[in-house]
Amino acid sequence: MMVDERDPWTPLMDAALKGDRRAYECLLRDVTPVIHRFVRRQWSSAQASDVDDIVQETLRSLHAVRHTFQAGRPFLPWLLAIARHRLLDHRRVLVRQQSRERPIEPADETLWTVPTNTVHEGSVSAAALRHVIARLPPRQRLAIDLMGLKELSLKEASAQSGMSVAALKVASHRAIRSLRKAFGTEDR
Amino acid sequence: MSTERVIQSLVQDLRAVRRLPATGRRLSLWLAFAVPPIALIVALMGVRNDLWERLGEGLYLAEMLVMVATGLIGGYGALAAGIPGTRRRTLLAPIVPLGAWIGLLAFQYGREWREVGATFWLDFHCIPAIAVISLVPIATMVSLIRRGSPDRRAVAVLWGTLAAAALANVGLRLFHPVDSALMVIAWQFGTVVVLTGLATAARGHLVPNAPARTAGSTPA
Repeated sequence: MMVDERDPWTPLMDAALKGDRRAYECLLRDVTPVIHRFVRRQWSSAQASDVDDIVQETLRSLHAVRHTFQAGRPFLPWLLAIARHRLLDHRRVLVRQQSRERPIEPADETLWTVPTNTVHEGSVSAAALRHVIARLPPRQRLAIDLMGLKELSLKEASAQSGMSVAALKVASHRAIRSLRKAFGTEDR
Repeated sequence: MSTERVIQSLVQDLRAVRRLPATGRRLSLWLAFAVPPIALIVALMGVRNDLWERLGEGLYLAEMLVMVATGLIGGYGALAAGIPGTRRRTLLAPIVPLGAWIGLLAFQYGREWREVGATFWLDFHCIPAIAVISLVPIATMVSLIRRGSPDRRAVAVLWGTLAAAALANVGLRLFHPVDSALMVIAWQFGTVVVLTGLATAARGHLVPNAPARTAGSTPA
């Protein structure tokens, strides 16, 4: 494959659009540090976990809208426009979450609490959970992503996804049932 | 999830996809769907009797041209908004014909005010007429916008609806006999503004934030 040194990613993207997985993997690995540097430059005080989240969201968005990459156009401005949107989205969510949070006053006395049931509930690794989430149908995954991971309310999730509140409830219910099934923790 | 795992899962999910056609081609496609229904309604309603006479007037002709320009440039801006990295000037371009349109209406209104005073009467006929004529152009535009990236959906829906309503207004002016400036502003342009506002407010439902799935690809 001929690679143009000025824009080595356009040929890789062209090949990826035709379904070439090797070219796509190469492209994603190549652009990951570029997105990382871009996010760092735009938001120098960001925590490493935030930067990682934005990089991953950018990669997911790139995947979802890869068909919008236009023939003959340079790849980098297209990619960075996506990254800029994910950065803004992430910061918006952070601001919204921080506005809802209240510092907890330290309690003066020790309270009795029921200990977590760690005996009957098998522990599930975060990686395994994410893997199972990634395999859910798109609407269920979107419901879990918006309400479970991003902690949006039903109304906000509905506005963002375009799904009705009822559809979101059904999708999240089904998603949770699928997750329980996957981990063998279905209600008896 | 580590970035490595994200990359692996995206690579596994990769399918060949059909690239989104160039914006100009999509605009042509939109016009191919949007113009015939407008023309059909104009034909059914019958063109106004004084059309040739009015087309000879500079102001009327200028207004028609500006509305056509708003339709074309607005449509282009709306479709280009679905492509990440589109230059800002392309996205802002529809402001020019829109500004010219508003300017012409204001000029017309000022002249009419000086010559005959304000003339205004209720004409609810315009509202359903524009809404009905706009229906197919707006629906087609929204379906085209949904194929693009949803990141700039507010801009896309704003310009897309404006473009559709502007083209519909061209059709309306071909058969609707009333041209009082205040009438045009209040009912015809007003309906365009209301339609555009409603569609932009409902953009989350019209263009979901869920990734616009690619043609030919199976959702992951």
